[in-house]
Amino acid sequence: MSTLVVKAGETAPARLAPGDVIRYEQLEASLTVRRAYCKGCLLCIDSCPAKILKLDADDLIYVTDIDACIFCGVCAGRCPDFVFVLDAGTRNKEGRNGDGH
Amino acid sequence: MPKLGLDIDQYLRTEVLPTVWCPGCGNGNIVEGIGTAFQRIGLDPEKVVVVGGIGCSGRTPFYVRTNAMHTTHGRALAYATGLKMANPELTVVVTMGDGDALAIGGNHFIHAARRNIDLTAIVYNNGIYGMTGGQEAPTTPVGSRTTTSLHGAVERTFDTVELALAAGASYVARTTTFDMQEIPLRIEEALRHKGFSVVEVLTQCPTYYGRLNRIGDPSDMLIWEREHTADEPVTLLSREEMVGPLRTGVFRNNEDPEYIEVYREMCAAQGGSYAAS
Repeated sequence: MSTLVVKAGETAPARLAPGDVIRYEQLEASLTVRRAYCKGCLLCIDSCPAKILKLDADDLIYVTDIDACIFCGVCAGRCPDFVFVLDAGTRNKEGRNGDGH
Repeated sequence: MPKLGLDIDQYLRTEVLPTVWCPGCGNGNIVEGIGTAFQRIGLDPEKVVVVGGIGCSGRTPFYVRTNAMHTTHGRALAYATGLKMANPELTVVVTMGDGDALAIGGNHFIHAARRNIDLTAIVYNNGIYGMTGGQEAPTTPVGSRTTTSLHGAVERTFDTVELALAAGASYVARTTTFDMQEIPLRIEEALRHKGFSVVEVLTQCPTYYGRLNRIGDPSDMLIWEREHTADEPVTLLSREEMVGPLRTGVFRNNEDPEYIEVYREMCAAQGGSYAAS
């Protein structure tokens, strides 16, 4: 299982292998997508407010446009299969009270 | 939430993922909730035991990187009681399905609640027997189709919360997989609580419950959960109110005498000492 790192301004390869782990690094935030765990249930696609998630030909999740990502973490919270890892860095640290509200 | 998913990897056996559960099953959200609660409290995985019974929920111990125990159907609480008595320093989490906790294990459930032993029981309620093919469970809502009630369930439904309250559990809460931020919050409260704590999580079974009742895909099931629950922790409802939305929230959070402490005091009063560690 290899990790592809996609930095700000770069684009991910058009064809991803089923087991690829992609880490999108945008400024201080990052979103990791562990495709090997995906079952294609559509929960993240339906809940993504930026509408940037899609299933590819292998019925696995991929990010269509990382520039539109707002790093809200809804995909990570909604996914029952631990596919997404969100590290919002310093973005949301203000106002955090530890219980997720 | 600056970090999601990352911190709980230390509590997950990531090498055995993906989970065995169907696409869109809410059980994974509950495991995530358990991991998040562990991480927020900062529990040492060596000092935690996750005990599971049989059924879809019984797979939970396979995915947590803590001590784990896969036990017999309905008897998870009996094993957990023994574990806790033998080593009261351990944090014992019991994961049970609705059929596991309320049907075959109903007796263990009420008596563990009656003793108020310091265990955290998490009841995964999907309203159906998922693993064995979608049979009617004691929690199946009246009128729902299952493979053993094709014309709609006629038996009345068990209310986990009312049962736990009546049996004497000192922390009782109910939440749903729709409220994804509430799951770790309630589990954390339950883990910190001294005494028998019950957290019922309404979860979706898209494969059987959703398909047989034509609710739709997993997202539609989450919306169904939202529409059929109300965030107001009230109990002792009248019969008319019982058919309304299922109430969620924290129903009881009492400081009642905990079984092991009472037992230890009794041992000391007899001039002996509680042998366990």
